[in-house]
Amino acid sequence: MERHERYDPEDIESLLSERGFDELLPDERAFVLRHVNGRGEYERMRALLHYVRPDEWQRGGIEPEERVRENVMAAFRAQQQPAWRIWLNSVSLCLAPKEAAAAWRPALAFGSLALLIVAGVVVVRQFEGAGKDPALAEVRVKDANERNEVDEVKEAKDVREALPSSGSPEVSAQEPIEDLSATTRDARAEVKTMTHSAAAAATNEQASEADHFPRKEVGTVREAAALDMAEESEKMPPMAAPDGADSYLYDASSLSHVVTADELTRNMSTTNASGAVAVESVGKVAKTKQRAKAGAATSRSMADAPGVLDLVASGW
Amino acid sequence: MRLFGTEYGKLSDERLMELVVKGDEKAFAAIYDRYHRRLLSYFHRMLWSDREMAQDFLQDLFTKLATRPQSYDPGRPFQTWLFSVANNMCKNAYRHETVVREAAVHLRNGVDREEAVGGIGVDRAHFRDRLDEELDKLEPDHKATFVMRFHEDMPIKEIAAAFGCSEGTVKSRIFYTLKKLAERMKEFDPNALAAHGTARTIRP
Repeated sequence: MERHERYDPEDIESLLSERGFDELLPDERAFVLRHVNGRGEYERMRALLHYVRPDEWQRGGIEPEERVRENVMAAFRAQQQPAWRIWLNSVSLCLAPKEAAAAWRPALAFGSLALLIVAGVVVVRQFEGAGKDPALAEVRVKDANERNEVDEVKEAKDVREALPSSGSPEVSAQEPIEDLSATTRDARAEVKTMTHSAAAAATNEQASEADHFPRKEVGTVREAAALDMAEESEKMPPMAAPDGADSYLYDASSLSHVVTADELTRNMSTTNASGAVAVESVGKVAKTKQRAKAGAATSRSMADAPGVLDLVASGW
Repeated sequence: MRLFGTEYGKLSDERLMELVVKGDEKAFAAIYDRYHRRLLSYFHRMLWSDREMAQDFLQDLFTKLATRPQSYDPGRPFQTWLFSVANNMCKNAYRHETVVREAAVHLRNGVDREEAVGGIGVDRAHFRDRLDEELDKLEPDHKATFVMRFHEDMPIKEIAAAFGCSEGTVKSRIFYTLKKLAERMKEFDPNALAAHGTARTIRP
């Protein structure tokens, strides 16, 4: 009959702990004697086990140093830092990458930095340019100039239309628009001078009223001349053309004179560009007004003296 | 629901490790506070009673846990896993510091020892020195098994799990370790040892 072991060799520890050699059952004693050399060894092992166990407990442990805990917690916190810090820390690795495959982190860090810098520059420039946009200001000035030029061209066109088609071929086709505008401005001053003299002779009362008309504050001589011309034109009644006189000289829409080639040459000079001629024209206007005032009491209206008008026209 | 500080002490090791993996610093602190004394004592016993080395090993172990908490296998008991890591660290230390170990044994042999004649004259400190000396002569696994079993009072099952071996292997190691120690420490009278020892109930 096959014999079955109740104990494994490894279970001797429990026997040593619980029973002395004399307390073992016959089967247990037979099992123990197959692994130990007798009663003496068993008892030594048992005594050792009983002594070691409490002694190990009583040994206690050593006290850990506080620095260990601090270091460990610092390591945990460092591990939990955001990933971008790790990227930035890896920038230095780009100088000496150990592996080619490890270069993606520094590259990513550098790319991120570059993007941040570019975005920052764009944002800063946008904020700085929001208050004063030089391009926008330039556009405004350009619009104003264009508008002035358009107005001047329009006025020059009106002047040209007022002039006889055969009288000024230079103005109509050959001069550029800018020169024409300048010429037109000077011509306006001349026209105003003539208008003053003609008006003073024709309508002394209206001329005196116009002299007392409150003037606006003007910045330049050219603007003053233009303003005077506009005011005089509004107040000047249409003149009837006398018999035998050229009708265009008395046309209400053409209270000006014919621009001759000499005038154009003179007005296109640098002196004219500096406004000297315009000043001279304004001076003429003032003298003419004074003369008109002085002679208002004694002279007759030019409308009543067609001969005088013919003389003036022929003089011009 | 957010966990309060007082609740960490009630959580199991495995639950705390889940929180540690998620980056919970308090959970990590709770794990450290729960195990640092036992592990330090284990390292101290295993590493030739070198206090500084035991401190360094304790720090290294928890630093590994802090930097790579994902290395913990949630399917295993945390204590078993932790002691297995500690045991592997000790085995590496044994491999790399064989010279130190032999020197320590040599130094201990050179110390004049008072031979115990038995009876009530058994010197506890002297017995401890002799026991440590004989433990250092054992194989690392046998020594670790002895320390875990009698110093840490770990159950056979957990020791087996920590070593990745069967319970029978652990029992066999314990038996042969006791037999070898009893043979080498014959100078101590078993009757005297039994008189000074305190019998306790042993956990299976």
